[in-house]
Amino acid sequence: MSTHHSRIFKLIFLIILSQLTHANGDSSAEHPIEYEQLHLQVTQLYAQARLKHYAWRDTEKIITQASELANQGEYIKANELLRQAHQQCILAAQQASTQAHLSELVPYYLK
Amino acid sequence: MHTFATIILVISVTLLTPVYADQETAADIANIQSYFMEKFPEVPFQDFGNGVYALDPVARENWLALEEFPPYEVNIDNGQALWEENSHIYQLCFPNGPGIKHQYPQWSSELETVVTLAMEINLCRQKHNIASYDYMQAEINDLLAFMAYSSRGKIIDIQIPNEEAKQAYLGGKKFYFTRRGQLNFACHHCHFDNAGKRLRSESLGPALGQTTGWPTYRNKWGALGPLHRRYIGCNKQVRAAPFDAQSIEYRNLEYFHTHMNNGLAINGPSVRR
Repeated sequence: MSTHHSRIFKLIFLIILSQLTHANGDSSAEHPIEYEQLHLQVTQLYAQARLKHYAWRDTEKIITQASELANQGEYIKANELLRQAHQQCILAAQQASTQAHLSELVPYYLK
Repeated sequence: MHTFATIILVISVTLLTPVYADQETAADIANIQSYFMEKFPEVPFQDFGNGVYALDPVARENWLALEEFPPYEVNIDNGQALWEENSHIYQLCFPNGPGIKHQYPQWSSELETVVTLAMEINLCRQKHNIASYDYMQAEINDLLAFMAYSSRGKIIDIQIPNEEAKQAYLGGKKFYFTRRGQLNFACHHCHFDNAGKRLRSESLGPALGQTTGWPTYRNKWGALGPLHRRYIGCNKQVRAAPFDAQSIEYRNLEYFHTHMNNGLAINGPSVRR
């Protein structure tokens, strides 16, 4: 009974350990690839935002920080920042797209 | 005889050509000015040129004390020296200068864009093969301070002479009423809807009169600075990416922002917190 339980505990422990190792594994080959894809996507979105004049203040700073972290091999943190910058670009684009017409922007008391 | 006929023709064409008068932009001035005059009935119209000091009596006392020995005095003197250094050139570019601040920004049909006074100074310098000023540096702001000082008391009279100018004006108007940045604020949220209310320790100034006193010595900057520096600061405060000083976006914004002040007197340079 006790041997059976200890085997189950060992198995659970190994599964948790493998999950944790995977989650923190900067050495994983997936992260640099994900970084490259995210970086390309975010820089394109940000360039579009600059071009159309709806960029947010901190997005460029976040992208730069992500690049610096990636240069140090910290891909997980870099990807987290890029996802944050991506979210900012999407929200900024939504903000701009809902305000296309001047007539809808001017408050009622000035019409 | 031929010359006489030509003169008659020119006069006839001039008289028959309709002067561009746009109802929409005229209505904007009336609506905006009456909005603020109804919102703050105790404030005399010309006092709107004093910004938040027209609304907050305590801040006004402090401001009046500062105006006794204004920190921008030295800038006016420096600006006068800079004007005199190249006065032969500036007098060619600005025959009615230096007191011409009340006529800017204006539409340039030649350049097909809005031209601010700062931009006009640099265009003049370029035309005469003198290096342009950096818009954020002291020299041009000192010169602008002298020109604003020479324009004190003159009534702002911004013209929208044609359809192209109106499009630039509408571009500035759209900028003014568009929510920007992560905080999702438009200029009017602070300077129309909440003018006179407190934002932390500061009072929010009304949009009407905000362009009369530039360049301004801001205590926060510890220096005299241009209106476009304030635009950059405002954009950053709502966490929007700012534009460059004298960019087309800010020039159009200044066009709209100053046009609403037609009828107010120039009182620059000024001092603000």
